[in-house]
Amino acid sequence: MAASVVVDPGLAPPIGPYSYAVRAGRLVFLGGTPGTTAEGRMAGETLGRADLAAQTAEALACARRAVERAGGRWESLLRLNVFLEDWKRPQEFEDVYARLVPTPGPARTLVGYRLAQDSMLMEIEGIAGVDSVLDLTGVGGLAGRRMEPLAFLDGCLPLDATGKLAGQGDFERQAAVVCDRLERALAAAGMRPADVIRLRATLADVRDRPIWDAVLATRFRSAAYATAVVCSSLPLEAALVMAEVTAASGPKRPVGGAGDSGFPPALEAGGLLIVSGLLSLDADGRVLHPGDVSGQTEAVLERLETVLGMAGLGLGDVVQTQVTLADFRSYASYNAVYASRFRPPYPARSTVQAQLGGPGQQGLAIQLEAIASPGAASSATVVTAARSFFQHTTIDDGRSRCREA
Amino acid sequence: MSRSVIVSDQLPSLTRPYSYGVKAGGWIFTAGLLGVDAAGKVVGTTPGAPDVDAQTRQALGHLKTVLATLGSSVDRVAKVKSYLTDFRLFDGYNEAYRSFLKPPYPARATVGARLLRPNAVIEVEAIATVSGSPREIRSPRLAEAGSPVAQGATQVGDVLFVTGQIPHDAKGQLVGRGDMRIQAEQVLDNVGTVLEAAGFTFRDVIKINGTVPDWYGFNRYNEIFVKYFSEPYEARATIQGDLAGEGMLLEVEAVAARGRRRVVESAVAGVAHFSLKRREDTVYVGELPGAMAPHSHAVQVGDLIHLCGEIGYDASGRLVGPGDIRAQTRKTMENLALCMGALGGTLDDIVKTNVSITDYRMFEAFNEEYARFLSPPYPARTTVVGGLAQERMVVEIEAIAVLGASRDAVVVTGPQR
Repeated sequence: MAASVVVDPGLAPPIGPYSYAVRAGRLVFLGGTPGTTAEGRMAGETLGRADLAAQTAEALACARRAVERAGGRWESLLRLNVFLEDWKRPQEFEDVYARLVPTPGPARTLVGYRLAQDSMLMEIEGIAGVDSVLDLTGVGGLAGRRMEPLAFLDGCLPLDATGKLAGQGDFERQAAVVCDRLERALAAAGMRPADVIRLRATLADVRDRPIWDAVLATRFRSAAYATAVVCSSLPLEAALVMAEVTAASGPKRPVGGAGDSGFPPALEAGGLLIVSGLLSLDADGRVLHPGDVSGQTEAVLERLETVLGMAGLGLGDVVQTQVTLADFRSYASYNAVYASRFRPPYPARSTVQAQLGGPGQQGLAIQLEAIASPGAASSATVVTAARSFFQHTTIDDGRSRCREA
Repeated sequence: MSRSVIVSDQLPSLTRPYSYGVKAGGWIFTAGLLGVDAAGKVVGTTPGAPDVDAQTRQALGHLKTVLATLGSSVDRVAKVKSYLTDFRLFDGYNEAYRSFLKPPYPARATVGARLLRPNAVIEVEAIATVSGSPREIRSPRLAEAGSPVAQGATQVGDVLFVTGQIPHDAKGQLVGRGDMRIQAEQVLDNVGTVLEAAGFTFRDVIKINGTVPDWYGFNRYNEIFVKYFSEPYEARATIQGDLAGEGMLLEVEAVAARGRRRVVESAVAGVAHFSLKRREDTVYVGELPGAMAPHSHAVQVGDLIHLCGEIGYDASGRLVGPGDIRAQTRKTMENLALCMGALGGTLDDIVKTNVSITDYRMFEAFNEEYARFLSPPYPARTTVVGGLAQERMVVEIEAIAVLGASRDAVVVTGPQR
């Protein structure tokens, strides 16, 4: 991939095959950025404790650096996903965030995930623009950002008009409230439900997956959009579902026919190819290579190449991937397969740990979402660190460990 | 719970409704102990990262103090359960552990769970005897343990504590990758091997603790489980947590005890409860919910009672207050009280509880409701954050009781703040 590579020695050496930021056209795609210093240590000088405030400050500084090196504007952040290891001290994060991210800020989604290293408390990833963007603050009770033709909305929780949780213990009610809020926000931004191009849901409990699929079958029915579902911890006590939406005005074209749960594996819209969360499933929804991350990574990358091919693109056009592993101990095996398919400079990438699939789909080890930008293979600008901790390793016993800095 | 209270100034001060250790019926049960100093601060010396070595040493130091205060010592520990936030710290934990405990090691299980204290990475609880030493049970048909644990089990008199068994064959290889049925069979075969080596059978098992990384295979686990166990079932609890090896879908710990048993069951036939005849050894309680898996509510042998992971369901099988920590905690404590009442005891005979809540943010409300059902000095307790077996369940409480502990237990606490 890429016409030019910007090497920044101020960025932490990556621990996997990924770049920090990729610019394609008017967008900059930011990969997963933790609070690691240029020396490769976690930021924070306090003895004996991981420091969320220090890690947040470092991660936001690195992200800003990467976005700007790629030619993007920090003020034009469109979307920022924040991954927190736990909810013990959210205020420490919020205080630093408020200081370092301009307001009104990007569409923001906060999710609890397990992260790549034991002392890592947070990580961010996102998308920024290269020129000015439009704020959607206050529209329909859900903030967001717009850069024609794309619109990004905040992660949407099931809140009532007073900002309190609606439907405690009632998944269907919470799902309905989330859909209502998203529809109102889209309407306020002058868009229709059919303009949704990506809808990513986080469920608190994997057993609600069938209900969520049923709700989606009746809401946003007219839309063909890329989708992904993970099960992880939500930023509000007793919330059962959260959804994050990207929309685009203009034409959209599903790629690859009906895939998992009836949604297309990918969608061409807004000048991008948005790829749904790909899983290692056969045509009947059964898990292929259960529990085997290498086999499953091969399978999802094979599927990714097929889908890209249908849109006339290749792996070199992929600018950003978002990977969810079921177990971080398979990180090295996954990296080995991933690096055998993608060529450097790699796409921006984030990797988190969460539960995948739905009831009856035991043994899923990886889900891969991707965004490709036509022509990125020859024209993207990529920001990387000067060194990398990642090396190609042979996996001998299938019980590989995460490589740590 | 009563009786004599020893306040140790060598232990951190206590702010929650639990004690550090309880001695009753010849046993000592400790709370989940953390690597915190006297001021309650998590210890550690590594810049910017929690230090598993320092925390383990500090927590095991507290364990020594608790045991010494109650007249026992670390070489009398029969069973350890440890909760580790991240298995990437497992080697560091084991190394520090080896410097405190010497072979023959106690039975042990280590589960990956989220802990409530910020920056805490390890929490350790133990069961020890007051006199005598636990005997290690080994079997040539089991793989050697890579960790400092009793290979099969430890035995104290008529009680057997089985080390957490994992889906490894005799060569130490993972079997049945991605297949819960095969893994459950291997795990329970291993439990059977240990029981046999000690001269016990599955019918002597009074408590089973299962850990699963996710709930996808729970029904399959139960399906295999009933091939090994029959009514009257043991008390059982299953929580969601990480396991020590990548690819493992199940770990099972067991406690077995020989002697006449009394069992508490719901009057409502539970899942996998096939027998319609009423048994002499069982007390049937109409107000308890039917079991949702092959287990009974409580099993008593001698004066020792193991209660199942009790949950906030009523007798009609309805979860009270879905997602509501207060309502569920109250109902759970009521269910525990029903079990204890059926065996002629009270909640104040409970010496140890293990609590799983699904969300940190529910901890304060949980403590308030929990404390309303108990009188100080409180039982030893461990609370972790873990996923639970049924949807909308937010709390599960397992308990161990000793009949008479409400009168004659000796309890160690720290300075109250």
